[in-house]
Amino acid sequence: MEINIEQVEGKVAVTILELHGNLDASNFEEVIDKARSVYESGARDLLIDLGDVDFMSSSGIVALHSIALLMRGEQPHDLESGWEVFHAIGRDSDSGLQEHVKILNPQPKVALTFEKTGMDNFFEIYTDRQTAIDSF
Amino acid sequence: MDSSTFTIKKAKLKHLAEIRRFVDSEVSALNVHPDIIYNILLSTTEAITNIILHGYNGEEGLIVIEVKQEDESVAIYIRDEAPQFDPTQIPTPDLTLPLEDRPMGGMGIHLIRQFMDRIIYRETPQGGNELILVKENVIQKTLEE
Repeated sequence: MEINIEQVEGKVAVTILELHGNLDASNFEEVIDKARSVYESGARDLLIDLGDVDFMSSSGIVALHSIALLMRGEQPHDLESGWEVFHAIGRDSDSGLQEHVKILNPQPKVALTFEKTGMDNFFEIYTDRQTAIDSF
Repeated sequence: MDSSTFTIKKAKLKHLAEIRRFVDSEVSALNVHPDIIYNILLSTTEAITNIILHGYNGEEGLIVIEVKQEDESVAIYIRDEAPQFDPTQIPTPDLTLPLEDRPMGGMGIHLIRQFMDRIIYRETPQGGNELILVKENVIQKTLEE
């Protein structure tokens, strides 16, 4: 998957990860690795632009949740843990919105996957880029 | 078109996109609404991801996908040679269960249940698995019919 990185200044420094293509089990770890690299470079607020992601499976949800854990200094899931990953996601979706990873412009069908997994309770989702940047 | 089959003898996760292209092409030809097609593609992806990761333990293995028109319904038949396992028996997740009581698996079957109308499991005579994902009454009649 093609992933572009951009640094912008809002009220705080925001790193934008712009994803292009399909997101599934074949490539979701690339997205986590990219997020890890920007975290290690000092990024703490991340906007993930899904406007050009035509397809996202549950592996994409795992990737985004893992990235949210990374950005708040926690270790992401052991990806072999099956339902434990799902239950951790469920616990976090019940805990409300987190502050450091936000989503921009998911396509309607991709947004539906957020709803079906409860992740719309965990990620703020924006349709306007500047509004998203200013929200951090 | 009554059915069309796609076989990958050594299926890996990298084949997921190719499988989606096949299913998309076949289901599109049946005059199914694009939103429904996406749900079918997502369900198929989840099912095959589970076969590769859990049935074949991340190794490569045979996967056969057949797209069938059954009256106004679309059925996706997915066959493999992995050890027999019925994913329809995975219970609906109970988030209140303690960790040690939770079954292993992923979100895949949960999403398949959200998006498909029927999920049927059968053991194959060869000792493998057949999973049938059905979306009912989605084939739109054309004006000529």
